[in-house]
Amino acid sequence: MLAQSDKPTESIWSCPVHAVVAEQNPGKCPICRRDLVLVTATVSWVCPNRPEVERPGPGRCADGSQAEKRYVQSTHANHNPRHGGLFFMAPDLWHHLEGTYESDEIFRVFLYDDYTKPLPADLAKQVTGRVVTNERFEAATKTTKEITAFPLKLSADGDYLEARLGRMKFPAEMTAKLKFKNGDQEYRFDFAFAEFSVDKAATPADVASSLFEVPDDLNEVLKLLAERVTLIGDLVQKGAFSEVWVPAFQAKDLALSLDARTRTLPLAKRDVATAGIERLVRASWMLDASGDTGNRSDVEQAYGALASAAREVETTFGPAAASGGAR
Amino acid sequence: MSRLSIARRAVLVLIAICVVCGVPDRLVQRLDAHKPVTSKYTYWDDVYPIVKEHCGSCHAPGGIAPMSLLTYDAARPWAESIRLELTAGHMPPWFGDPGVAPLKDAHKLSPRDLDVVLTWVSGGTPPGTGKPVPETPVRNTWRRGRPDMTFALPETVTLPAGTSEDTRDFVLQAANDRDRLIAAADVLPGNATIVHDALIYTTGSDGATPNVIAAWVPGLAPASPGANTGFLWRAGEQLAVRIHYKKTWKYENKPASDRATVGLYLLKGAGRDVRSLPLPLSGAVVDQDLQALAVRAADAPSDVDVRIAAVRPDGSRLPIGGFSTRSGWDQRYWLARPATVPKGTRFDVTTTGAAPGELHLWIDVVTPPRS
Repeated sequence: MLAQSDKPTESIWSCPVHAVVAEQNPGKCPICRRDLVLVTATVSWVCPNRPEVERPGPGRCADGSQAEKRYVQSTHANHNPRHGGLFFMAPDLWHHLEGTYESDEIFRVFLYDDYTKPLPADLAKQVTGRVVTNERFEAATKTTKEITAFPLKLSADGDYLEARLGRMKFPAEMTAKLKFKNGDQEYRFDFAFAEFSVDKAATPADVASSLFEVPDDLNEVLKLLAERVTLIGDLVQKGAFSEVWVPAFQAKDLALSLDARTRTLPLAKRDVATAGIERLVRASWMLDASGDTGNRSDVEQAYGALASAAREVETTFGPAAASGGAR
Repeated sequence: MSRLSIARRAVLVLIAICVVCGVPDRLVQRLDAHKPVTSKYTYWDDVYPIVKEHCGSCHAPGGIAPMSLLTYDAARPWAESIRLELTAGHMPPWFGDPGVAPLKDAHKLSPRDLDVVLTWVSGGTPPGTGKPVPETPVRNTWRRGRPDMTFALPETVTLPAGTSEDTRDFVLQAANDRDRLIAAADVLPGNATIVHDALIYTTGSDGATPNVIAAWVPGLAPASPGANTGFLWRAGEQLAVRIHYKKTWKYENKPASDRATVGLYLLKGAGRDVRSLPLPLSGAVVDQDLQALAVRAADAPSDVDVRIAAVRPDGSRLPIGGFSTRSGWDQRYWLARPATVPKGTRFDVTTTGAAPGELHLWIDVVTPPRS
């Protein structure tokens, strides 16, 4: 795909789900009535009768008609934390943020746009919220009562929101509850820090440890699949949501390798196996997406779906099934 | 230095390691298969053949779906929407669960096709180098070939500009002079952009319970109960159709008209007739030997998982069928193989997500052939 960075960009109002919407003003999506959100789009120009050919800029086309603007959203190119913290995307699909809990015992929230550029000062000033370190769900009223919460304040240099928490026990769990502007919906982001955040870069060893091969041996595939499910469970438990996509996608690749083996199963089990693999593929993508947005409830739901699908796959291909023909 | 640039360097190091060590690259997990433009699958090379086959009967110009997915420019803006629909299991709109018991005519993406499309929509939607194919409109034709009998709706229906959805019942001008067995029934919309789903049913003049011959949804060929089996249309009984019209946002605030035609495929010669039995959520005991052929829900709310099993008199349990419900997409799920159960068998229903009384289930049965 062509690099889009050479093209000019503009802020337009679009729907979080229907990217075809490109408006100059805020409002509702004409398709689903969601509130439009501000997005950054690259701009190109095309002639109405030859929309497949991009022009270098505005002007008249060969047939005398005026070239039209075309917006292409090209975003989310970088979901890597910048400060050694935990990185999430807001459910509005535009704001991004990174939380850190450093040895100075301060929780910080760095705010970004959809290009992972620091949020402009005028937008950062509008963000309000708090960080909750202790809350309790009350079944009777079906509400969550916050026991300990700290207001988040914009730092002096405007680079981040912060709150001094004091020393917390690890894993340090906390929830940032943010509104990106007055009157907006409040979003929650569930953080769990295994240790103090350190602003260090990934090392090649970190990446190399992710090296992963799908083995040929069925029992080995099933063993690795079970290990991935356990690993994802551990990451979910720890709150390392932005990391779950790696083992989730590995579990998906393992399951897809089993899809080619369904014909070795007894006839009655083939559909069951395919249904389980399909569910696992969907759940892995749900984990990827919910891990990005950092909402514990969504992540746990996706994990539940993946673990249940993996159990189904394991039962179908497991030792009992192997005697029926799978090798 | 940003973490990303370090990560990129790390990937280069890793690739170098792989080259040195001779690790085949196809075995290496894509380390960057995440948010940037990383999809190894492209629209024209990988995605188009899948959407053409599985989505093209609705997601094409003139179809019931609000957008075509049959060109790159048409599909790309819907990437996030496609991702949500696929991960939720809402599309394609066939909600049978072959994991409970094998079903006929499954209309699902294979796990691999599902992964290809999800990778493309999540990984930067690259167009690819494959040769673009011109967009073809929906082919509005009989999907089982020419029917034996056809009946046009008695009138043209117009949804006014301000109406986006309506359900209408029509009695068809179909005088039936003798008992007939209907193997399958289909609807040919006059305007495929607004005919969302339909029920074709017979109703006796004596107030008998309507017998649903077909629960029609667009995009699927009409199924039949199997050899020598059909739905009984008694002499003198009326044939009717209930059509659910629904405009997509493309036609909002515009009037739209339809005059559909119903087609019947008749069973040649004698055969067994299918009966639809209501199946209470509390279960039901059968008073004769039966073969179960299909299960369905009527006017169901969304997101109810239904599992039906037969518990034979000897206590053995036989899974019959499972499906999830989706409002507006009621359809019949045909068992891959008829399930024969003896008199005294109890059909057991398990549901998750339904409030009592909200769900109306039916099981389609025939008398087993004499052995």
